[in-house]
Amino acid sequence: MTVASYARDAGGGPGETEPRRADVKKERRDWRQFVGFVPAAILFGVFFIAPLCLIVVYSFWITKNYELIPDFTTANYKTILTTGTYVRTFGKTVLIALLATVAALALAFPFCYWLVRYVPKRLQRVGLLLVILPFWTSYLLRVYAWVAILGDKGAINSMLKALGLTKDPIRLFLYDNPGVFIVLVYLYFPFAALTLYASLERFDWRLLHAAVDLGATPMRAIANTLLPQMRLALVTAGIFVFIPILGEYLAPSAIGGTHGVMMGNLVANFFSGYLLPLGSAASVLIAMVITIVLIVFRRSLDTKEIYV
Amino acid sequence: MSDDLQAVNPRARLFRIILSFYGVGIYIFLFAPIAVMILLSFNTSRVVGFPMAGFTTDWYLRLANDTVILKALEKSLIVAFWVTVLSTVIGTMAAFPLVRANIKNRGGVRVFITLPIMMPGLLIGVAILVLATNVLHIQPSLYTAIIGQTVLATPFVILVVSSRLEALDRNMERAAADLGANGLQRIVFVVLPLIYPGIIAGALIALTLSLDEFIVTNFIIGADQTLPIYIYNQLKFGITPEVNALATLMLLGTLAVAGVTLGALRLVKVLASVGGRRPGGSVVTKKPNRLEEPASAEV
Amino acid sequence: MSRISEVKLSRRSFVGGALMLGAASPFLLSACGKAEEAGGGGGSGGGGGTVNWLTWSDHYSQDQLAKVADTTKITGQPKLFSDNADALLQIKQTGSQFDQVSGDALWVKKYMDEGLIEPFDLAEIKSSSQLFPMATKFEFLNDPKGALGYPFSWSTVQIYYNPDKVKTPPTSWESLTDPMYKGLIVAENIPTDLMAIAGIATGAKGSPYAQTPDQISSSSGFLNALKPNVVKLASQNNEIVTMMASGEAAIGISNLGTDVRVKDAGGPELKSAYPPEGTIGFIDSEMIVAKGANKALVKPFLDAMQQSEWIVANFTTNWRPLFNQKAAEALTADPKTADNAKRLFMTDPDKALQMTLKGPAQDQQAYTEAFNKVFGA
Repeated sequence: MTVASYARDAGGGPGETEPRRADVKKERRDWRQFVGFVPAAILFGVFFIAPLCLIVVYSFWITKNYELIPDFTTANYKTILTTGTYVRTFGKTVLIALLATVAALALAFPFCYWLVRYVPKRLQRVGLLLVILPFWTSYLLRVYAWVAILGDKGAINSMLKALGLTKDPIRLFLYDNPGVFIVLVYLYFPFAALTLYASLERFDWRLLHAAVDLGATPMRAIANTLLPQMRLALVTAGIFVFIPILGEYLAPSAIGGTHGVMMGNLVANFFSGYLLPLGSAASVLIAMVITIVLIVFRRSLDTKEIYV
Repeated sequence: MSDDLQAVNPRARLFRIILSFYGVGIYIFLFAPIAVMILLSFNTSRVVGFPMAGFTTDWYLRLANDTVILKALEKSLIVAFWVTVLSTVIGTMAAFPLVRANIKNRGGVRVFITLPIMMPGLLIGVAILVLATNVLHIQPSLYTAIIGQTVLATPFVILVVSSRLEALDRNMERAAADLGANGLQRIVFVVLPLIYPGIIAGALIALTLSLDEFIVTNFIIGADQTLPIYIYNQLKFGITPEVNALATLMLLGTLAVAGVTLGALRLVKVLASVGGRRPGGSVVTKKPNRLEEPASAEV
Repeated sequence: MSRISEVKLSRRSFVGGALMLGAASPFLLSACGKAEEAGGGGGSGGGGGTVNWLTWSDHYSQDQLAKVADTTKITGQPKLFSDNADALLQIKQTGSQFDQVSGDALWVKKYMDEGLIEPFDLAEIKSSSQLFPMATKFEFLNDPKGALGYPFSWSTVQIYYNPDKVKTPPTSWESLTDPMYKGLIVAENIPTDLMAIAGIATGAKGSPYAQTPDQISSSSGFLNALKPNVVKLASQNNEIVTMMASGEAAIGISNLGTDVRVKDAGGPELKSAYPPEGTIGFIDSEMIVAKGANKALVKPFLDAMQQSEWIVANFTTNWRPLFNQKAAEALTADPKTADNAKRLFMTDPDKALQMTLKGPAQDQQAYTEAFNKVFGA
């Protein structure tokens, strides 16, 4: 905008009663600025919002013998919220997601700190690339590779046996919750690491020096200058780990056995048995939790802070 | 940087050493499953486990003859191509109003745009399947799979392009406007060239996402198979080292493409700094006067 | 979810990204070109085509598909499933995409009732002359309009255990709930069948697939008691075999021949226990999907796939009986396989009719819900 147009748009002086030609023109032009949204709106409207609405609708219906019958009942929600197994699964899913998030952040933060401070700038890029490299292998195989590590004949047990430390294999992790936990942390660690790195990289390290100069120990310096600034990034990283884990079902199905079942498995079972209303109700509950978390932490989605 | 801290506090040195071990440890943690996966692709026994029964490259050879895998690869590439094109176009178009239009609740729109990424893939897959079969009465097919993956990929493109767009210096456009360019011309000749790295990055993300996408695709692709679906079937229904061999090759393939690209990138950098300015606003050269040197060298 | 990671790199690999796309595109295009060649070559190679087949992994082998494609120019394209209910749903939802589907005994009738398959004249498939005559007369595979399915294989479901790890062998279904078997059992993840077994175990009168709500709740009780002993619910028999071979499971609820397969896979020698309460079993068959786009190719495809040589190969890989009489004769003639052929009822198909056949539950929904309530968490 040139200075002249800026002054023009800034608002009328005293005595201006009718909207000026420029303002009318601007109002008429207003809709044109949203043109770019149209294809995305169609895409998301038809193939994201509509299906989800359908799921919400289905959550109030019932099935009989593979046929969906329109109805309006909250029975499905009641079933999910009152059946012991389902409630336990839901609670366990949230718990595992929280624990895995904390673990991923706790692992990622020192790692990123090391990468930013102690690794030469040129190598930092390589270091990041190495963190992302596992993503270039198939997600499925990364999960199933853990069976080969944690299993009875897996790498860990074979090594222990070879070293003579154990006679029988240790069935600690595979086909149970701890195994699922480890695999989830493994899968989502890079998300946490990359988000934290982006923020850590922009931190002004002279603040640490200043703190130390003023007498703080290195630990205290970090706690009082670095962590407060990282808060936003920590929250964002947490969200990028927590929310996807809520919907995970492949990892628990491969590693979890009968005891490491998560909500995603339950939903998958419902849907493959054509119990659409129950599956929909469960999905709506998960989706609600996710949406609430997103809205509460919406500031952390502000891209300017993270990506640029 | 960290060195002066060491001068101040000797414990910092120990701290640094511990952290370095930790960093390396993390890398080991990250690569252990991949190493195992690659190792087991050479196992003679079909049973997953150690110690390995023997060493063989048979599985790799069997891959070459496997028409099912080649067909799956073909389908994967077709889907990936269309998903990349669609999501990049739609996403770039949507990034402009997100950044520039007068929206009352931009944060809300942002949350909405991130929703498809955050919703469990399981839910999205089933929802689209149900919509397709029960409401629209269209069969699951390659086309529905393409659309489904586009829904997942577009938010990423929007986020990346919009962040690049936000950081853009609007003065370029104002200058162009002053010189007489209209809106469309400004976008095509000024903005797009300035943000194209973001668009490319977004396209790349869409491509990578599509190639490895399993959950949503599995629900809505019908009888066809993409590579991840093939791998899933093999893993679930009979783990053979063949799948490990396939994954190892895929990894090597990606590494090769990346390596070639970085090498070519070096070449382009050298050529560009000799030839002149590069689009992107700032000229990234170490010696600002380089433009003059070749001329003087020739003279 | 390999996506979010790349976003952070955008700062660093702008131009690199551009070049990667550039480098990738010739690769992409050439791959498409190559694929077109391959696809075109296969298609134009004289009257061939593809049969899209929804099936289990033990119904074919890669070699078999390749050879059949060579001779008949028909390429079988299998997609795997684990549960009949799952398959039925897929066929229902995908319309014309699948041409052939495999299914268990009583499920065939459900497919027909839903109009998903079409009857055919068994005599038109020449290899059917190799079948045991009794196999062509199964009343659940036959309809006034023709045969509903081409009979393939059968098996009972029994208990296999590793005598080294299981000191007190299980003696019945009920005994499996004993805490001493904690974490040792692996079974196939088929809710309907597990509920049926539970029904048999709790002595439910009538068909295990038509339990009353009371019976369903005692079956749930049985499954609840069984749950701590189950280490994993496997997607297919293959997984059960691998788990028992590697020692991760010591008791398997599985098909005939699992012991031979486990031995082949380098595992221990298993023993079998036949539960006195009775058990379920399956007879499976190949069906033609009514709306299949290429359904006309299914009959010649089946003719090639069901030749006795392939059935012999199938038996020596999977070790459960099949209905091809010519194959049975070949197997008994060969001294290497004669013992197993006899022991595993390859020559005795009448046994198949003595089992309680697998099928859909009368109240499928109640079964699935009851199962999920137990194994949901």
